[in-house]
Amino acid sequence: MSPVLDRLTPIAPKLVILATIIVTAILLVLSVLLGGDILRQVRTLSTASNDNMQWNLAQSEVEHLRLQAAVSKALQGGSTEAVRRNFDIFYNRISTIQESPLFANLRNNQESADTLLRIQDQLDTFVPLIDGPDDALRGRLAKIGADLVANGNNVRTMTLLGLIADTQVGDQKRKGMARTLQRLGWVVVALICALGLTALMIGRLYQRSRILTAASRAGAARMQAMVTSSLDAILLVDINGRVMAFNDAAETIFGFSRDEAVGQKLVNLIVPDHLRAQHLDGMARFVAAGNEDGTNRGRIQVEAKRKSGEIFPVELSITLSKSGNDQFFVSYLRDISDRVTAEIELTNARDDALAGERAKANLLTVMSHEMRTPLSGVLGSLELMETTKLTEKQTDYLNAMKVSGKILLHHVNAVLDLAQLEAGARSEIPHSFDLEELMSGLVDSQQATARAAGNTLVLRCHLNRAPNVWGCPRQIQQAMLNLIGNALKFTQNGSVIVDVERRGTEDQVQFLIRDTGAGIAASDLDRVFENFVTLDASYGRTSEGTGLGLAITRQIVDALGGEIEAESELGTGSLFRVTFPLPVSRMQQQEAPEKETEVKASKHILVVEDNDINRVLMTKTLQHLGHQVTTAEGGAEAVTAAAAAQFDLILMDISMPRVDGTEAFRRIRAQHLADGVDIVALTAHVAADDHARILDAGFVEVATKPISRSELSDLITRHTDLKATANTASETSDIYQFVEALGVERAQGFLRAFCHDVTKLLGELEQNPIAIPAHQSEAHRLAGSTAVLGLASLRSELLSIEEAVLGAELSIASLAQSWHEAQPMLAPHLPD
Amino acid sequence: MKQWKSLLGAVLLAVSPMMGSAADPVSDASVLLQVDIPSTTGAEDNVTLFKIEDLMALPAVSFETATIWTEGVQSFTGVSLTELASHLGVSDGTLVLQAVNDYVVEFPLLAAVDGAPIIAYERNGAPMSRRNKGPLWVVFPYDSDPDFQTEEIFAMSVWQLVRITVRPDE
Repeated sequence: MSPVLDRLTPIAPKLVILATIIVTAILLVLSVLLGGDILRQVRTLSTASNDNMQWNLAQSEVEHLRLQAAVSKALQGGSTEAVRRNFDIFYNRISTIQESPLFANLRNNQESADTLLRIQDQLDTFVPLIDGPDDALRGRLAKIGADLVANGNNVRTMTLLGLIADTQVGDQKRKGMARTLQRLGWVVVALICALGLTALMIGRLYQRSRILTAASRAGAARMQAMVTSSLDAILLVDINGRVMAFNDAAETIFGFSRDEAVGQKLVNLIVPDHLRAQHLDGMARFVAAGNEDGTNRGRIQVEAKRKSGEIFPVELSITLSKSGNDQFFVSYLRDISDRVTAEIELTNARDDALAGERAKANLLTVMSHEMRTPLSGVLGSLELMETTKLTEKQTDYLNAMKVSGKILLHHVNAVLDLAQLEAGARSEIPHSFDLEELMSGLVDSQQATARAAGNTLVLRCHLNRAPNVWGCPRQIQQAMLNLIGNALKFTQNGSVIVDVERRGTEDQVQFLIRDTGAGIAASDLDRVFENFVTLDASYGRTSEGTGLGLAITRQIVDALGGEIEAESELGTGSLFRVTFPLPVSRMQQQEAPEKETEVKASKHILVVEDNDINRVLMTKTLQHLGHQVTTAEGGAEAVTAAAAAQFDLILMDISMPRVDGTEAFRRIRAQHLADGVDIVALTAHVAADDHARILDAGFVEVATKPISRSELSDLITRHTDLKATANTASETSDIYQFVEALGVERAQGFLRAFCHDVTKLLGELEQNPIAIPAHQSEAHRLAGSTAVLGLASLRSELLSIEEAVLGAELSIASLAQSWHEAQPMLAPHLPD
Repeated sequence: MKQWKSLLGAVLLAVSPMMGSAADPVSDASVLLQVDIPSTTGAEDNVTLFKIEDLMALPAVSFETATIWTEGVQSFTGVSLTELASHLGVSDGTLVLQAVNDYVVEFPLLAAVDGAPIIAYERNGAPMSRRNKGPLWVVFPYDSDPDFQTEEIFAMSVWQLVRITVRPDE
């Protein structure tokens, strides 16, 4: 509207308004005052204070003339009464002029005042005569008449002067009136301006309010559009649970029209019956909690009900909102049936995939296991055949068969190894071994292969004169074998250098395998560690290349907590760097039993194996080694055989139908059919937890099939009476190893606790020789410790307690005996 | 103003013949007021003469007021015009008031109220001489009401009252 106002009001709108109000008020007051002034003046007029001054003055002249006339008449004989009367009238007139406030101006005027005075004086001279006796008066009438003439002039003068004064006063009054009216006029104009200003401001405020209203309406319309177009259902519910607002999306999702929904109780509309109580409870809690800042309590997933009665999943959020004194709930609901369905499908797909993976893994394992059994048959037979008389040709064929068989076995083992490693199983228990010896043995075994390709193979060890380490030698050997084998495979007329180095006193040992071979392209460098990746296309696929070698190596590295890196340059060579944590162990590796020892005595061995071929094979092999063999086809037969005769060693196959190896073992031990006799398990399963389970069952050792002749021989040596001395030696050395590994203090603490626990258990059992769960679990626990300490007989005693039937009576004698034998072995390591 | 003058002039002229015909007033100096009530029946006119004692015998009314002809507040005592009229048995009509200098003015009796006007015979506790508005002055309590401060009222404030003629309304 007004640019001036526009400029003013943003600066200080309140100030302007205030100023205008004050000014208006002042003007009002002024106009009231002036109006009052005018009213007074007008009233003065209406009160006619003039009373016709002119009349009075004129009348005084007339009355003077009448007096003169009366005097003249009296001189001619008329009455004196008239003279007296007219004198009084005139005198009264003059005294009125003297007295009346009307004539104040006249009296103030010097000239007229003098004139008046003269008249008065004259009259006063007449007074005694008028009041005196008649004849005295008559005598002086002529004089009086003459004086009156002069007096008459004064009267006339006075009259004229009065006229002048009167007109002057009149003019002044008129001017005054005019001035006041003018002032009033200005005040009124100013008032009108102020009112005009106020009107302008009101107009502006009105404009503003219109704009604000429009903006507010637009905002509300936008809000409405947002709510209407929302894909999520938006519900407003009052504090009593009645629906206040129901947007389009809500109509679509729930099937109720807005009219149907508004005013109804929410709990009756969309809450499924089985959630009613929960819903009402929740709402009541919500209100009680206040939720003052109106924050969202988060998204909840619940079920809701459509108009059709269909129950479906929803995701909703509820907020308690306040508007003035009103409280109400705002809720956003989303139909997530699709999402839930998709999630279920995804989960199913994932489970299927996982199941597929597991099935594959199982397949591999089972297949490999299945393959191993006949393989062991083949290889075993080949070994036997070697001992018979063969022609040259037959020898050649035999060698060929052996090689092929070994390769086949190698592949099967590789697959199984990988599956096993991927499953995260450890197939070896760490112990102390001579790393330098391991590596030099390994390198030596590969020298022939190296020479065949014209390569030099060198080993350099820098172990700071501490060759003994604590770790898993078999796995390290396998990893190194893969790496060295690869290096040799891909190098022709070059060199392969193996460095083994420990830096300072670190636990980590670094292995570097360098070759000057063909190298690996940078793009392939990452892929080489993947399963089934082979890069020797240029050489054609050799019979050894499954592509699993490096994959297995990497699994081993990961399993042992090490690291592996590869560097290479095409045409120059490759470098593989592996580190393993192998802490120094001061323990000397115990002397490995000799590979092929002719057994000193013939042992009576029980072979339990359900597979006919393998059983025959084992028997023949053992007999070749010079032992006496009894066979049993199954577990039950094994028990019978054990009862029937005394054996030096029992070789028990695990997987047998009907009564399996573990059960047979339990029975034999429970019935004490082979006390003091080692029972070794034979299994085609290679998984570490299988081995662990078997060992936990009580078997002294687990051997995997196929077992070679030499392995068998070692086994026998270990577990027959040679062990008497070897045992003590091995037992003590086990304890020594243990103390070395843990350090003297910790080992002593452990041993002390162990002795205490065994003594305690023995005491409790002697008091109450009944197999109860507490004793059995304690026996199991202690059996684990005995394994570490190499106390085999104590271990088997504890295990038999664990195996015993619940509530059965136990014979403590043998346990006490074993403990008695074990104590002197532990004594030197205990603190004094 | 001019209207009033002319009106008064007319009245004066109208009344003067009446004056001439009527009996000469004030042959007795002690008679202050003569009231003429003309007869409507053709009989002789009722003429009442009042001396000061007669007027004082009637109920007196006093008030104080300032007037435009005097300085300061004055105290007037006299007989109410309405009192006089009822004393004479006059209830309506127009009273023609005449002063000693033949000044004449008409006063409708119905316009009179008790105490306004009064025919005052004392001013400030003393009788008034003929030289000083006396002996009888028709005064209104000017200060008590702005309605008594009009030109009309001032014109009816006859001093040196000598005669009242009652003219019945036609």
